[in-house]
Amino acid sequence: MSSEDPSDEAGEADRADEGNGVDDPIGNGGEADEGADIPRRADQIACTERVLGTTPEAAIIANLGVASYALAGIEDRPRNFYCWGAMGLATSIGLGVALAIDDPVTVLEGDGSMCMSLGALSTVAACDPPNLAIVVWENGVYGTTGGQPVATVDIAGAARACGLAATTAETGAEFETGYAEAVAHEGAALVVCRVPPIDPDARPPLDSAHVARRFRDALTDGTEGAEGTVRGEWRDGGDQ
Amino acid sequence: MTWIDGVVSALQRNDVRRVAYLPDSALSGLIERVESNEPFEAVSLAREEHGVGLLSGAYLGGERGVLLCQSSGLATTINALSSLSKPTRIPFLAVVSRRGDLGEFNDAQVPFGYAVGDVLDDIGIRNRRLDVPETVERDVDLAAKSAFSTGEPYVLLLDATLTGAKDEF
Repeated sequence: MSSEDPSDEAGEADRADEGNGVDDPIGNGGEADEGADIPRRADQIACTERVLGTTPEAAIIANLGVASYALAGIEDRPRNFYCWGAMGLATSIGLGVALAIDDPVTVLEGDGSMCMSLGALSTVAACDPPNLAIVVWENGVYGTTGGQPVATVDIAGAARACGLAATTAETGAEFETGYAEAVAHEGAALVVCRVPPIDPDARPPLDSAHVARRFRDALTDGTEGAEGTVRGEWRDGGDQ
Repeated sequence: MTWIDGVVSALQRNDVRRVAYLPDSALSGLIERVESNEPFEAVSLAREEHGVGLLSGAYLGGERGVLLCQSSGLATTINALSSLSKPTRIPFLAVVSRRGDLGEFNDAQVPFGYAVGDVLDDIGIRNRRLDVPETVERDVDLAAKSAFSTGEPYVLLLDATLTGAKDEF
């Protein structure tokens, strides 16, 4: 996490050299790397754990592939929604959830999926729900198809160009700060987290309808707008 | 009752609140109505496919929504409908202006617009063409009821003979 506030655009020039992500990560002190439990480069599993630790009640929408595998491997909670398809739509799904509920909503994107729908960030910025945080795991590859390279894009810069508060984190410590600031930000905010590629063994449930129902019930207590309740007239009169 | 009145009435009756849309001249009167009137909350999209994601998310949060776009835009939603709406059983409702048939001047609109119903049939997505104002309210009402009751998408295709085609001949 860079030291600036997510809403501070004045620091953009400082990020021009962030491309290789190895030199002098800010705020990760020289001696802290030797045997410390915070790795020099951010780790996607550890950072996903930080997301859950920082916002334990958040509704989390995870992109297909590694973002979902990592999340499911840590905790398969009812407030997790995993994509098994629809690559490029995780942010749009998260925006819809954030507009509908007051609880915090977090999207776990990949860099490949984010690049597929960069335009969605303009809609996020226009709606700007304060309860939405978007995390982009930038591992530089399409992880579930064999590690083919993703085009190098300054995703935080693109998000800022869309009008969204956005930062980039290189280390676990930077991510922890950046994510907390994104959650606290008065509007929607995005955090890019640079991570090495990983290949988790865990998988989310394959029953997408079950996951969707479980997620919706967790967010609405199974009552708000659910079929058979609000639409009782139709249900009662229908021939099920 | 105009076809626009019919759509608005049917959406309100079914508690459809969230409206995701891209501009479309044939639907412009409808879009203006929902943009400015409660209980509707309108969101302008960058791409129609995002609307499937946004409306699915809104449904997971307890809201009902509808996508308004033209058939060329619906073409961008095929993967989202197939790999999100269908397997998750998240309902989806769309009111789409169907280009490419009677009154079409632009050949770029013909291939998908003319075949949109066949494409949707092939991926198991129910759809219905509307071309007279008298049945619009009933059909949108019953499509919404069925979509939200069954957890299945329903796409209403409004022909240019209903909405009024661009006259650029």
